[in-house]
Amino acid sequence: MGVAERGRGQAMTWNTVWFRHLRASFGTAFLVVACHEPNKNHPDAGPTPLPVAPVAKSSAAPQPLPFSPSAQSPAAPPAQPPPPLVITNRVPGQFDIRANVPLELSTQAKIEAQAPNGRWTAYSDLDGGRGYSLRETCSATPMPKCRKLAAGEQLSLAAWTGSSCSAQCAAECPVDRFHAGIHRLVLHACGGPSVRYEGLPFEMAASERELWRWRASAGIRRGQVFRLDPHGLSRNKADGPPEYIARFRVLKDSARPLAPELLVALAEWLRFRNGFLQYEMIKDCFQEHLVGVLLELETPRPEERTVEIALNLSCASAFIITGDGRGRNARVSHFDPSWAQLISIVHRALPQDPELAELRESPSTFPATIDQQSR
Amino acid sequence: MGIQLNFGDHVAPFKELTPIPSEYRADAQWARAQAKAIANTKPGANAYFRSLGAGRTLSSLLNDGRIWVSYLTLPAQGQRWKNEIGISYYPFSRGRIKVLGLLIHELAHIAGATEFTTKAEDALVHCGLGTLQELQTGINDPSTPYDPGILG
Repeated sequence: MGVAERGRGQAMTWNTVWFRHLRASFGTAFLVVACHEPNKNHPDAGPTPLPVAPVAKSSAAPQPLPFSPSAQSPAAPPAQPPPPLVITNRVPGQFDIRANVPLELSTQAKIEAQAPNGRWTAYSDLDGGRGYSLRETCSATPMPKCRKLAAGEQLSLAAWTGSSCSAQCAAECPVDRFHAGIHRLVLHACGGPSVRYEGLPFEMAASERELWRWRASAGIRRGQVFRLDPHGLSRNKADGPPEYIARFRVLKDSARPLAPELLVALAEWLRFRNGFLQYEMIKDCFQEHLVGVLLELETPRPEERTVEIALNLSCASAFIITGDGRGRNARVSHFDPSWAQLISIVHRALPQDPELAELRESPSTFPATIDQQSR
Repeated sequence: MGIQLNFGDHVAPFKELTPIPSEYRADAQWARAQAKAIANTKPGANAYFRSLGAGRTLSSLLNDGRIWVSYLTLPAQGQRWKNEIGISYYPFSRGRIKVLGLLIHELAHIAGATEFTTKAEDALVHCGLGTLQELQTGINDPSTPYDPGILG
């Protein structure tokens, strides 16, 4: 468990415990329907309430994913078998699956959205119509129609980005739409679309910017802080740590480790929804008073393990770079409402920095939401 | 009616956006007129803007009376929120050609240029306000308003 996770207590894994398994056998028209209750052992289990913070359980070395709640719960009837498939939601859009019995699944997965009336509808426009796939990488090899899983086998899927046409592996497109709201992952048996495995509902972030912050804050193991060269911006996307953080050159000998309590504070700041502008503001800033943060996360997927953040303290802007199946991508968050909270963290992380010590007043008063503006 | 300059006849949604001070109004008017001249004489400018995602040309943006340009009182060069553009002291203090460059840059954001890319700033090259050499080498020529090192 990461430092930041420990700081906020119990990890918030949503074990997939709610599914419907329909099985046809030997051509006989019998169906076995197994409806399993949420894991009573887990404080965050259950279809409601939905998580408002990112679910964040992850591990550097893949941990065994949870078996069925009935298998874990001493109060459950002993005869209840484990579910054939367990889907775990990590940060919204990041999924792990585990087969408890040999299964053959369709690689064509579905992301379903819940309407206000409770009805679920699958998106049809993800990744340019190719849909969300049961795949661990976005390599160019053709996807087979089905994938066999042995009993006990687990997969960590290339994440859903929350977007429409750049949903998993496709490049960003001009008409991309972000899907906030309640969603779930649904898998199907190979050749049997009626045999469904439904993941627990999860709440996607309100925006890509927020999702990037959630990703950055989940399962932080360790971190470093740097000063960055305001004139050292690289146009080469390949320039990365340790020489560059979020495309800015690291100033020599400026690296300092982030103490565990500062990692906790940083994770809390990143998850503080009202600490950031929740509307799309674009600022064209001078690059001044730049601080870099490099975070290492506990997560089963290598491309998710490193987070780069460049903080422009004169403009209250954060460039956050994380990875998913498409590669490494940046999103910009504006932290005008929480500038004081961040500068407190920065002052504690770099107490000997005279330039930063002089920063005492937020450069702006933009509110988190436009309806909070009073003039 | 085209894009409008806030000379005190517009209440912007943020108090950081104020009427353009009287000493800068002539430069703002000049920049708007030059932008229209660019849209009328450089087809590449309209084509580039249309490619940015919102499907809007530079001409259509300049003809849009819902777009307001105000003065920005923050330590930034400019900003954009919906149809509200702010231009700060810094471009105004460096001359009207910089004001024109920033106006083009912010209009490119309205046309769909995303943050943490050079797409908005690269619009200046397609408007004749920067050189292909700057675009290709990334080396800034201080004689043009285009700066290939600007992200956002």
